[in-house]
Amino acid sequence: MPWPQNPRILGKRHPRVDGKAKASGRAKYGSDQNPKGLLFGAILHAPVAAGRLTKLDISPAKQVPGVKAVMKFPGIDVGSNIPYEGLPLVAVAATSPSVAEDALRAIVLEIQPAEPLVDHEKAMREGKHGQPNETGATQEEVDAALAKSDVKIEATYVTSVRTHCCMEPHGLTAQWQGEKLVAWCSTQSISGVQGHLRRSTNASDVQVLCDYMGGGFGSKFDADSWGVIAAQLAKEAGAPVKMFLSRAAEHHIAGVSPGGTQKFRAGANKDGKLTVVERVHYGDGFSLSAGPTYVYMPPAVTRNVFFPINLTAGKGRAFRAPSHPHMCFGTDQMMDELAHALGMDPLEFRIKNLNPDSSDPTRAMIDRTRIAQLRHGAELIGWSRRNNPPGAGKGPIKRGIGVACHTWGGGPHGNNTEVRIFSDGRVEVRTATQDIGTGTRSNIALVAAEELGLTPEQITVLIGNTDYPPDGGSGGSTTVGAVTSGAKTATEKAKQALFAKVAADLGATAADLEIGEGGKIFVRGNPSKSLTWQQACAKIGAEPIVGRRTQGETQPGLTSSGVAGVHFAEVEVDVETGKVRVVKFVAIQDQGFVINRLTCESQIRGGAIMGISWALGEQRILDPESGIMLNPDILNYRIAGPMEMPEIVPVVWDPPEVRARGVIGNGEPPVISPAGAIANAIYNAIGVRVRELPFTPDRILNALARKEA
Amino acid sequence: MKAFEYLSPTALKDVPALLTENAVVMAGGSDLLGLMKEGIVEPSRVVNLKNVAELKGIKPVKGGLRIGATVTLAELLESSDVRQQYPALATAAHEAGPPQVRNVGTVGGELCQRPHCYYFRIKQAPACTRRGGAQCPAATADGLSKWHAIFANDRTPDVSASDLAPALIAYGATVSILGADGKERTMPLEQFFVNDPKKETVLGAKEIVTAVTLPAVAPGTRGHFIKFKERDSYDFALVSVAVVVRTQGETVRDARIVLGGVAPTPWRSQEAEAVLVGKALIERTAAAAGEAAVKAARPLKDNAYKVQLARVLIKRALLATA
Amino acid sequence: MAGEKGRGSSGLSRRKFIGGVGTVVGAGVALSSTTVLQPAPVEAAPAALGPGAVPLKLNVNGRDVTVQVEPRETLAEVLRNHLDLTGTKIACDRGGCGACTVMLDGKTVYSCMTLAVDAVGKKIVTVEGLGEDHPVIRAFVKHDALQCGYCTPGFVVSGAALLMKKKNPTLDDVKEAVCGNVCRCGTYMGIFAALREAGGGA
Repeated sequence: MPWPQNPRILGKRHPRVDGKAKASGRAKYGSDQNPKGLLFGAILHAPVAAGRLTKLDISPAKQVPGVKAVMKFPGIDVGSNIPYEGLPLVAVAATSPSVAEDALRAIVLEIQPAEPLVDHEKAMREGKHGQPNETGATQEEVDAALAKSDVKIEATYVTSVRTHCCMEPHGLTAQWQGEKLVAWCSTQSISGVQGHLRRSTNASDVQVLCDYMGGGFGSKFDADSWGVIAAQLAKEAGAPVKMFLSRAAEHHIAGVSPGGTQKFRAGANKDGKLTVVERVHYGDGFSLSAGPTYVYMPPAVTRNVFFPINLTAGKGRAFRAPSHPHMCFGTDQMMDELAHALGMDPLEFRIKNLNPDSSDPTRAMIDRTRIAQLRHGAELIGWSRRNNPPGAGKGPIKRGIGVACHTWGGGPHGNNTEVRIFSDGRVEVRTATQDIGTGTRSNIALVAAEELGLTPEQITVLIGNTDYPPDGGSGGSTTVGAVTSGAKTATEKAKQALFAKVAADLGATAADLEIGEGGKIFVRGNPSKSLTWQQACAKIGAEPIVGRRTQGETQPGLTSSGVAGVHFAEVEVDVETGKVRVVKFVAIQDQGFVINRLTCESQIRGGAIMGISWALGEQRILDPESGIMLNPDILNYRIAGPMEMPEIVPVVWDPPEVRARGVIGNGEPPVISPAGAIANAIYNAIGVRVRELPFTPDRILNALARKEA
Repeated sequence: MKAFEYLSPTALKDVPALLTENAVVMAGGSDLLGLMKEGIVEPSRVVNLKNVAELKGIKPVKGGLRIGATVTLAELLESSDVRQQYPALATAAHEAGPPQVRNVGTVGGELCQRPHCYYFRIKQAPACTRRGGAQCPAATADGLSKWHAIFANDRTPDVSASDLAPALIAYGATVSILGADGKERTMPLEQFFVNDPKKETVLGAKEIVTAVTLPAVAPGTRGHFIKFKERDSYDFALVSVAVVVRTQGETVRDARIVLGGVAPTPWRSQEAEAVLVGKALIERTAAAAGEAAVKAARPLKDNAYKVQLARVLIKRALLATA
Repeated sequence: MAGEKGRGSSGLSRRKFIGGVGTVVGAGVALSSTTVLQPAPVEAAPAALGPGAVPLKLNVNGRDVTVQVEPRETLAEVLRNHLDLTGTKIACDRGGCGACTVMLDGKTVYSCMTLAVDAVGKKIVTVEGLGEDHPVIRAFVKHDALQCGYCTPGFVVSGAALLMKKKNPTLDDVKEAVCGNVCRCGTYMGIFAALREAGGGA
């Protein structure tokens, strides 16, 4: 059965089922576990960005009273290379965090420092890059196409490196029960952590638990080396060990979103069509996943060149829509610059380079959706009010409006789900997924409740435990499609089994039965012949009814992949101080069939805010001389706070055509466009392009000063 | 952080004797605990001052106010005397941090907070002169100097991060210090701060701030404080400015203009003040004062933008008093 | 010092501590019979505590509890590791994110930047002390003012403190009250709406 046309509860606004547990502090995260006899883990990290270990003596740490186990990380010893700051060297377990720190201080460590490499530009200048990867046209073909174009632009866009900075650090609490290892982990993938711990320890069995986790954004898919060593310390000490990274280590080694440089050369003709686009990009782990026109139709001549660089700094991990925000930042500014060169409305120029009539049905659908979204967003933001010409207006505070577009997949991963209906009316849904803050637990409850005519509170959702039927990692916006289609199919099966059980009592066959409000089961066309939910369930007996959905079993229409989204930003720029304020933000997103409109909107807002945060202030700052990170905390890493918030208008875009596609994930898409939209809005406000993130006052003032000079 | 012993005296007379070798005083702890966690300060003894009776409370004196060193920023804000007579100080207290900081942060601690430069705070980074380095890394060719000083930056060009200091100095405050000998001395707050690669104030190892005292405010006086931050929610000042202007009719008789975030000490601009005296406070005069203030600025590699910020914030603060 | 090494002083009440107080769970709760630090009376001569563990009597969520901790342990560590009050989170451990926000005598503080010993004699209220039916918590759920939820208790405590002194808060009041808290998921809009509603301002 496809999703209902007129759902009873799906698609409406529902507070999440675990909201109170989280808001009241009752929810226990991996870092909150305090099993009896708990020891606290801590790690000695490499204090340099590059170098070689020349001395390492851990024996003094073992002498510190209260220290129960001390271990070097695998491969760490005298002679080891230090490839980046924060490399884990030694782990300890002790009776308190303070004692564990004392133990770290006791370790004798000597390092011969080497010269770090922390600057992309320097790496390019000095040829310290890998073999370039070139695709598409040749440089000569690009030159020729540019020469024939009515207008052309050449511009360089630079994105800063972000760190994930999850509020709950990476880590786990490990406890051995005989030869079995139990780990409460802060993770986006309990199955990934289980696999990692199975491979890396000699446990006879590994159970991973994660009722709640404090944010991952793409950085928490396995146990990490510190999770593995926590298990080993626990084994050696004969006591459970809690090992979570410090905030500084989070920044250093728990993942970054690589930033880098994109050099564009692009041309267009007076008819508003792109003629040629070339993108040369370089950075550490910065490889961009789509061509240089990103969401727009590629012209006949495109060229893409990538130079890999290996910095002596913490390595990239997937970060919410990996590489898309960077592509959007480059491509959507390139589009804006071309539109201005043509003297065209930037919105119309974008529309001209979409293809709603594409022979590829997905492309046609997405571009049709996008054009409608652009038109609607233009109304909501007041596109006609934009500064014309850019930089116009009296007084130091200039207002401007900008737009950017994005896309993402969001199809489901494989999922197994089991639904159990008990004789006392209880309903349990089991699947080994995890709720990373997106509302997964609630989505599952809503789907089962819709199917059975019940309320979400009547459904017990059991997730976050590898003993349940396997599910994949929560990454790439794949979870909502996976678990809701799984819950739907499994619940349908359980329902049919329940119908079969009670059909005879109603003098009908299972095929004649329907379920209504409150779980009432009745004969189609004769609602007076019915059983209440409790009456029906009472006939189940000692063993619950079970409905299973197994991985690979798919039903057409329940899920799909590929979305459009557009963001409009309105900014105020104080040209005397360089201060940028985002005052209004319209975020339009399609995600197919909506399960819970409330959490869906939260996702759209949250993505917009994370993108705004990057645009306004976030950046990993590395010291050029030492390569040491200079802002490895939260205050100086400058995540947008309450005062940075604009008015945000989230638009859940779900006309019937979109809804009919089924459920599509929306974790990633809403984070992609803000920086691009804000960049274009700043240009519209002040008439000067600022091409480097983040848009801090110094950058704006320097750009204005360059213009005057 | 390293283990330490903790003392919490209640009488000021007992404090000097407790300040033994490698002891530190703590009030709100917002600054000190961060330094201790990073291992930048590793005391063997912490002396809590919050229970010392003599350091508490705001008292009227000679038409002005004596503000005890452990008066919190929140208490300062809640004082109607402060809000009405010294509005620039009230704004500075508000801007000094979010509620969680204002509720524990003290006047003495805010004035004595150590520089927020990463070369001082991050132990793994090249060392600031304040923790034994030979030269300020920010002043080298490779150093990052975006947050650093544009004035008096030829030695260790980190910046005074205090928000209260510019406002207090603009109001002509004095500071009282308890010496190791148990005697109290008083000096203009302006002279309390020093441009020294090793330390930021005149305080000796065994000395503590006991109070700041504000003189009475003359009729016709208005004050204004602006703190310009990269991140409005909670951040240190890129540039802050306190102005206190006394006018008679349309004419400025007296003006004090003090900047924060631009020099190793709070930076009083007598050049800017001189532009104002005897003139009407109109946009042109205010702008000229801003211009005069930055004339001597010598920005480093990454902080020329602060010159513009200082210039325009002075103008805006002055016009806000007009 | 009022501790095990017996360098006691007249300034501290040398009361025998007998048995466990309250229903504390977790590691390190003092069950030994030692002196307990009490609020120091005025005129007390100074005495040193530590550096080893000393018994501290804390008033947490209306109950007196005694914990055996070193002076260097922060209130956040003691709440989480000694009292199993894990609604108070440690996210930055440097007073920059607000996840550890608790109230001391009705005022919000960063418990990661507060020594537990400094909380002696004060009324400590953690998120657990607000009660699950607190209007702020109910409004947070209704407005979906949380995603991963790790920063949420800190925002709840900051918001509850605001509503203790302000009715009908404006949007600016609300932003000001929570400006020392950070949410990585980006739930600020829900938080603003929840606090305005809970305060009767919307």
